[in-house]
Amino acid sequence: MNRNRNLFFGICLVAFSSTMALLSVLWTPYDPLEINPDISLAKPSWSHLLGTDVLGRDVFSNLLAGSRTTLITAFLVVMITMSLGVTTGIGAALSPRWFNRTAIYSIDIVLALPAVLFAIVLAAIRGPSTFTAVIAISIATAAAVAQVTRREVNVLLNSDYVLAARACNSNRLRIVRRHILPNIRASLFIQASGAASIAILAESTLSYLGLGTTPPAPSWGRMLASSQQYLIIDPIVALWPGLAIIFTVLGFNLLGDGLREALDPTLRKSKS
Amino acid sequence: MKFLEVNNLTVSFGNKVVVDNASFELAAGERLGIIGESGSGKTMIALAVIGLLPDSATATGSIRLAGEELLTLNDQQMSARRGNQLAMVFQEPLTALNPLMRVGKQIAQPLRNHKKLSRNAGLARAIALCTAVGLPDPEHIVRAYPHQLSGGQRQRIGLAIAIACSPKLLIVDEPTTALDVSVQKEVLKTINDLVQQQGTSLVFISHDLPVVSTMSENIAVMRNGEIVEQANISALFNNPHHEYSKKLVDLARATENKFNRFTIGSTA
Amino acid sequence: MSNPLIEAKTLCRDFKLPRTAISGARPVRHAVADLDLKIEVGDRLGVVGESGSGKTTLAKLLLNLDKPTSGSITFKGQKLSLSDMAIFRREVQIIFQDPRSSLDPRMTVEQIILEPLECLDFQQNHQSRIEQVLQQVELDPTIWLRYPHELSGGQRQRVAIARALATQPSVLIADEPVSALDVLVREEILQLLSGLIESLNLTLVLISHDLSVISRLCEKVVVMRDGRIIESGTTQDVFRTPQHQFTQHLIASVPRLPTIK
Repeated sequence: MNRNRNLFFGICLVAFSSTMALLSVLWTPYDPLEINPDISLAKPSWSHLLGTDVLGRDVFSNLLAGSRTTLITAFLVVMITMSLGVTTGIGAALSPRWFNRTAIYSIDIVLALPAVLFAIVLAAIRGPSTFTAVIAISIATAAAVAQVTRREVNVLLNSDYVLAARACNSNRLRIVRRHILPNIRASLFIQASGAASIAILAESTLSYLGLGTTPPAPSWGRMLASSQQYLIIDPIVALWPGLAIIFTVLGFNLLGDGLREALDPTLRKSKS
Repeated sequence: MKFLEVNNLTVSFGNKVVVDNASFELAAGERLGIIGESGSGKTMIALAVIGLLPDSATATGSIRLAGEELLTLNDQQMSARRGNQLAMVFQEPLTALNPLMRVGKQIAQPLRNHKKLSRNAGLARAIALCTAVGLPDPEHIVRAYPHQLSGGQRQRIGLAIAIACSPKLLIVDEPTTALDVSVQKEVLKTINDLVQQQGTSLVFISHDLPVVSTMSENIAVMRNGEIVEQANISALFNNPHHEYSKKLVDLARATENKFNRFTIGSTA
Repeated sequence: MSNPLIEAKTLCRDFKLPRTAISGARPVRHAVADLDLKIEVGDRLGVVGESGSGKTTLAKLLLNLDKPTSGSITFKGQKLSLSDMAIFRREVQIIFQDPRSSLDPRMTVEQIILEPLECLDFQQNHQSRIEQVLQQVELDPTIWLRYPHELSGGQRQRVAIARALATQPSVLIADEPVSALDVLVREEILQLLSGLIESLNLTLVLISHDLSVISRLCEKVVVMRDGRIIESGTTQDVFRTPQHQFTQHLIASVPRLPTIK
């Protein structure tokens, strides 16, 4: 762990955000939804650590509560994206040529559409919410994961050791389990951390646009949106959610890198 | 003063020493073979001479070409000499060529950089060089891309690029390892002919003793970064001193004898 | 007259190339063209060919790792069905050229050799078989838990040989088994192979472009070029009196040591 700085800082940052989220379930200094117009846009002080926003809501409490939304979104998106993307990718690579081709074109079409478009469609059908944001982001990101995974699996399927496994009468499932998955693991970690980062940013964007988490549920993206109007008067209010987003995204990226390094046997020093 | 003098050359990557106190010299027009297995440091010596060691490597010692110390030159100065006074042909013809550039243009590049030839003059010279390295149909071949050529043809292009500015020193690193046997002999002959015609000094690097012995008068045997023996060919074959050289020579002889049992009296 | 062990009849394998024109058929590369080959029990057969000659494609076809475009491959006189595949694979194994890419970098030596034992349902105790076969290839037991990148080229190739021998096959197909190795290591592996073939009574199909390697291990040889067999016979006959011009050219191209003064 000493040498793996990425892993160390990644874990620190993600742990920090997670602690905030967990803490907010039990306790926040103030009710994040409590409006208090008297102390609108107050400066940071001992009573309100990060000040208040334009409606007098405590920024710190909102930050804590918002981290819940962010992390749940990140978690759900990563789960859905990776399961959907990886299975599609592997399935496409293993299937006969014509299916492979069809899959590529379909995935390309999905890739061409931005997540926002899905979010708009879903929001129109079911009304905007964190859930629709999660689904929209997952579909869009899964397409990218499927594409990358498919390409990598194709390369691996042509390697000599997979050929050797086939020469031992290994069936497809076994080859995927023993040879393909371990060898794409590094790439999957990186893609997962990328998906988490995309999810956090996308959720913020969608909330900002009113297509994700609806008021009054706290969300970092909406905190940014609402502080936009008052930037001239009080720019500091926008700083806190912005920093929170940056550090959490950075944390996931470092975590992905760190895990990849830690789990790659070829990067380990040899014992001889 | 010899043409190329390498003295106490040590190349290391941090704590790891890949070339350990190597010294050898080469007279003008002479051919030196460096033989060693993978990891023996032979390619590193070549890269040190041509100034293409990776950034993480440190080289100490002395490399003097025609009296000039090469290790103290900066990148710019070395660039001016690379391709001009000294040149290298690499092992993998596919990766040594730019896949996106027509081969004629790649041959003309050193000519335009160092000799300041115009585009047309460079191309004309490239065509002449293609003939010199034994490529058929030079006018058409200069317009080809590397992937359209065979391995042997690509290696000849690599050779043409290297000799474009008539360098005084040519370093050749395992040029035929990636090639088929049927093409090997011809490529080697081409290198030999060119070197003799121009009076170029040659450093020929390989792991294959029979090949090296046809391409050099003197041989340096490398192992684990050290030069364990240096001798001319007949001395090395008749009387190898170091046990590693003995092993190599005995093995080459034994392999050939076994093969000869089949081909003595061969009509080939 | 018993059936040949493996027989290929009018074997063809075509690869479709990318389109060069909008209309008309796609160009085709005949990797293996109209090839007949008989491998008898106890043969030591060499397949000589350069890159692009189709020798690796032939190896894959012989192993049923690729389907021929036309023609057939029979094992012990019979065409192979899916249910026979396990028996076939137990009997016929392969060693690849590049030990770096033929061993899964994420598996330990033990897991690598365990794989054929598990997939092919080897009847005896797996652990002791692994020990046995590692001894046969002269590898120290401490190597069990190492990963391929921790081994030298020679050690890796020994592991590849051990994997091939795990299920006690009767036929070994070796595709350029020593080409990627250094000269001295090459010699060790050739000696090892030579010894194993003798002691285990293996039928060998050795594919190589290196004529001296072929002459070391093979009594019969076929020469391939552009997907076809252009010459065949005993190694002695073919090397001493090559009939085909290409074979003559190959033999003449072998680098020779200088005659010592």
